[in-house]
Amino acid sequence: MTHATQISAQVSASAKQLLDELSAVSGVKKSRIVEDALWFYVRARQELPESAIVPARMVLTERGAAAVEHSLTQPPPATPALVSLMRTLARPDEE
Amino acid sequence: MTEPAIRRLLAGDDTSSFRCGDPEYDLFLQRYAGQNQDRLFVGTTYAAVEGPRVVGYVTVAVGHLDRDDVPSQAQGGLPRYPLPVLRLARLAIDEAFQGRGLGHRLAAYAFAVALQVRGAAGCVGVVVDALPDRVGFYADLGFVELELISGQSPIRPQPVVVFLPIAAVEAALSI
Repeated sequence: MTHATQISAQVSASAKQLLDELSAVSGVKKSRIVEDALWFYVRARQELPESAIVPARMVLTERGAAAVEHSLTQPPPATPALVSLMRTLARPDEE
Repeated sequence: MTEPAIRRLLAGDDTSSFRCGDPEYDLFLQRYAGQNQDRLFVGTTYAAVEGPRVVGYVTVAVGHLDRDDVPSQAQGGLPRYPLPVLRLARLAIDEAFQGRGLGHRLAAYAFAVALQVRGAAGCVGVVVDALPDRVGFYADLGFVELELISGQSPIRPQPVVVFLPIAAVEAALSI
């Protein structure tokens, strides 16, 4: 990195945790991860219109979080419609 | 009549004649789906093909559900880290192939991909950006609506975000 300078930013606790974990696992410095991610993001935004980019991070409202928690802790049984749908296709690795 | 095969979008696929009734979905397939997948790695498109011609597609991307902005007393028993999901962002069928169940096959394919992702990298469920007139279809499959603070799809009309735990997909395949 030439002519390095310093920035600071307020980020979510989960983003910080993700950065810490990725750095620990990969051994890559956090500053390098941030710079690579930023360049990657900017390049994607330059090459794709906003409508073609699907946000990766979805922040839930209180009700949204409750709905997910309920779904995960008490998974609903497969509905007949879902069973029927899944019978239309073999698994990808079997196609 | 042979059913169109479903597999990953390839560089040589013919997308030029694809018309689903929504020009934005046509344009996405013809101009952006390939680079999205092969150059930028921000999503993968699975195509239903008849010969070299794409007659339907579904685009998925990995994502995560986060609760950072939810007040701590409302966070319940969910883990504090982001929950990985597979997001089904777009699904479209060529007008000549609509009404034949191809959309169902593509949706099922995407759900099966989510099961593979769970095994390979972790995935707690499937998030679908459902067009408003398709919300009932996904509700019948067991999806529940999710309210988001941010991360909504940029697609218009604004889709309704729905969620299905991966356990339900697994259960459906085991019956």
